[in-house]
Amino acid sequence: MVRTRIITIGSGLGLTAVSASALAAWEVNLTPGVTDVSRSVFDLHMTIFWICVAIALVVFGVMFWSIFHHRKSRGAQAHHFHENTVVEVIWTIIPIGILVAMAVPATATLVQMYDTSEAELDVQITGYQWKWRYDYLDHDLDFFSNLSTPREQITNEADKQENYLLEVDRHLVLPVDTKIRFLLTSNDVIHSWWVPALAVKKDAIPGFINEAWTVINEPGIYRGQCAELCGKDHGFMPVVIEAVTQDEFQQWLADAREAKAAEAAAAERVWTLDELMQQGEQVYLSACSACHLPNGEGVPGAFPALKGSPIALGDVAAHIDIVLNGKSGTAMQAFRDQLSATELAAVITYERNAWGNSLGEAVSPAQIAQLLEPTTGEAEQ
Amino acid sequence: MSDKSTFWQTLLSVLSSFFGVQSERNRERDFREGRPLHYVLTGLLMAAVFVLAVILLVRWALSLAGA
Amino acid sequence: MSTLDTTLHADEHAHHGPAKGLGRWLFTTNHKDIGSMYLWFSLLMFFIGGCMALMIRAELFQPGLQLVEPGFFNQMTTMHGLIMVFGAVMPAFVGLANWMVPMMIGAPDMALPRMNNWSFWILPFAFAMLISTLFMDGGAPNFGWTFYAPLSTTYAPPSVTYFIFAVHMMGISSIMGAINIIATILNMRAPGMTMMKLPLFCWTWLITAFLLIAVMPVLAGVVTMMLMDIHFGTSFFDAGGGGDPVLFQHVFWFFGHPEVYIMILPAFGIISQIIPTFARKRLFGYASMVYATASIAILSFLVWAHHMFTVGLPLVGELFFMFATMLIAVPTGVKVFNWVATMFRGSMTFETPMLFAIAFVVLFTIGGFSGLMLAIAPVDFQYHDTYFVVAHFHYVLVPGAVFAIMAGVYYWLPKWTGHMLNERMGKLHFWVSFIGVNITFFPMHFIGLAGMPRRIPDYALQFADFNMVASIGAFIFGLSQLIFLWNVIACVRGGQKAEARAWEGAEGLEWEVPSPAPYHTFATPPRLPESLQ
Repeated sequence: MVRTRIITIGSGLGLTAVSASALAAWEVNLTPGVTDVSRSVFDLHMTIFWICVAIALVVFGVMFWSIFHHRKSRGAQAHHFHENTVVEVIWTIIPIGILVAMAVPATATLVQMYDTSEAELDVQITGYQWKWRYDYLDHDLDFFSNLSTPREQITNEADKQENYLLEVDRHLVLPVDTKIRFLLTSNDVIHSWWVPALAVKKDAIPGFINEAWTVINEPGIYRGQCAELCGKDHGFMPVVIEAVTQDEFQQWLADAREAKAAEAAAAERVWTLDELMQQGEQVYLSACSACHLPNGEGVPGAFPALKGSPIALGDVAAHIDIVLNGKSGTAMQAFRDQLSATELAAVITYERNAWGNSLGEAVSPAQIAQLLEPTTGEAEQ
Repeated sequence: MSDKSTFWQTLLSVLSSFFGVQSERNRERDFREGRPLHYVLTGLLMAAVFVLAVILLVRWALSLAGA
Repeated sequence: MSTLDTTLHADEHAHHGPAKGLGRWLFTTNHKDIGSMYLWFSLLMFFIGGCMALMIRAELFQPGLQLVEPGFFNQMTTMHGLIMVFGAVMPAFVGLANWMVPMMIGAPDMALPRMNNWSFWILPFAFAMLISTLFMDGGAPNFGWTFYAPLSTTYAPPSVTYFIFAVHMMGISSIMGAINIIATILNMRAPGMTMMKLPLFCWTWLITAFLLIAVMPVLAGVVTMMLMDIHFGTSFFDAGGGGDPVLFQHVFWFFGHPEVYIMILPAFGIISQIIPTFARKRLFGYASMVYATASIAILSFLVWAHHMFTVGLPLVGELFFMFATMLIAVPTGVKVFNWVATMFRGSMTFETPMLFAIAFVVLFTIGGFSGLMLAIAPVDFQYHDTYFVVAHFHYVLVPGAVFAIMAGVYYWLPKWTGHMLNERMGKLHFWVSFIGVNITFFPMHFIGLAGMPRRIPDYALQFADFNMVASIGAFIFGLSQLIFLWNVIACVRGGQKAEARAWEGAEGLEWEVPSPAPYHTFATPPRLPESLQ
């Protein structure tokens, strides 16, 4: 429910931006962004750019002038000079001087970018193949953010919408005028979390925690993408930030926690096979079909088929185990933290009853909820 | 005495190669008198000096920036 | 007495002509034969890698997935990069060195001819193995030509082992080629051809050869560590086992940055041969060029982490690599001024090799400018891993290294074949390539700045227009290379007879021997011509 509400907000705000980004089709430059840091970065970028243009005009100017005037067909005679140390020293010192002048503001900006102290909000960002997980560390709230562009648009069976490939099911909601510290890490391979409007790009590396920070000046929706090749769907894991006022942010936090509780309660009731199949298909398409394909046939040599597979047709406990805990050394992730009990039950049910797999049995959300009970002992580790 | 001046010449030649400019006259002198090994060793030494210099520069910049 | 000598000589030569049939190519130790094989092999790889590039550009012609699956797209970007770097550009330079270095220094052949044969014949097997991975279960390597761990280890397709073996073989080939070039230049120069008189192409190759010997073992080391991680239970790059994925990047770029110079220094050498010829004027600042190139051999090892500004280096590290990069880049970059000064007040003509050389100077400089921008760490956070980077390194590699190779080929073709090039076709090739290359790569600056990451098979709608332009350019550029192929074949088969000094302003020992160069040149050491003494 919260999910649909956020999507509505998202698309509402998206509409206001339509005219702006329709023009952006021929965009040729970096965005100045919406933070102080991103503006300094933009200024640095423009300064160095104009320096390059100036040097280019001089060098190419001289070159084309001599190409025009000193050609044999115009009767030019070659002058036989081939050395002038003074000239060479001068034309080496001038660019070095210019670059030293550039290095001063660049250093200042870099020092500023590295100052993650005194943050008011910590958000841990974890890269997964191929989605982001956001964890509001002090607010007991975490969720995954998946690409929400329908498959049909990607395969050209439907018209592409405004924010094609730059839309997600759950936005990273952040307050404006607040110093936010991002702690980045990864669950599998190296990803890179990038939002151009914030001038934040930092690699998410398994086993490391990287830091970055921002203070967003204006409310709005800011979009970015994973910037480090992370496997097959590297191009399909966008970042969407929704910057809101501080009051709205508090309200959103409360709503999101409430929704989380409601979802936990839903696992308690009894679900019919049809209900589970219906939800299972949706979950499968967003969480599983990237590798195992919508028809369950997988990719030979890379991702095993589920259709007719010994796991999907065999012992249910083993099936639940691999979905919940993943399989180490392969791309199969642990989904216990990524999906709710209901979603897990639905998707496992779906996998056992779709594409000609027909066991006819349902896995109940309650059964999964029991397995998801917080494990306090080290035995699980 | 002549050893010493050769060392300075080698050093100067290595530094000018880092800078990227050398005169024809010095080049002829280097190739006439110099030993390749001396240049390689001096080059490595100067690379180390370059690294140290940049590290000092960074420390100085950071102390200025107060980080 | 002297007549007798000559007859004896002629006799000897008759016995040492090329062998007949396939055996000539399999067992040859002749630097010209081996040079030709390197060049043809490189051309073949250039076309294979080019087809992959066109597949990439065709998929990116429009948003949405049309032609290939994302997994296959990644295989294409990876194989395109590997094949172009290790299969097209590097062997082309080795081929040019094989042909030209002995002739430029007045040597009868390379110093180690049998090893020369071996270092070439490794390559076809290495690349056959690499390309065969496309047909394996799980597909070819799909982790980018930079193969960052753990994507290339824990998460790699099974074919990664073949990739590792292929890289080892290419490394062995490169190292042997480099040893050969060093041995030849240092030991086989004709009397009077002192190091001071060495043509700049030989100088840049000598330095490049040292770089190759220094860094190819690093590459071999890093792929061996991957192999250990994958098959023998080590955890060099696996954080789960106490390893460090960032270590991979440090080791890779410690190889990778000098590798950048390996791919551009011989190009500097070629351009420094061609521009003086067609400006009819000696190279401006030869001494500076030699010294700057020499220092690159050492200094290029000190800036590798500027490829890694976003991995979260400590601030001190970021600043170190930013400053070092900026300081080192300038003395190298201003060599462009030397070429301009060489043209200045010359007496220029614009045959095909010169056109390519001038395009090299202009477009390589554009690549240099974007390199300068990328060196500024805080701004690099916005550029890193976007199409801006793709534009940058394609500008230095395609209209940089590749144009230099083509310039070199056109420049020396008369010496190799004995025929002048068909200038009309040469100019046609140049102009179509020049226009195509710019239509392809210039818009990539824009889409990169607008925010498009590299290595993605599908993109948001705001990048659509420039992507379409770039794809059109890529097909123009790709198809124009068929003109190149036609030109080369036509020049081999016939054409206006070339004189020994095929170009009016050409200086150097290679222009003292007849065109086409006889199978054996300088069997007795030559006397340096007046102009070189």
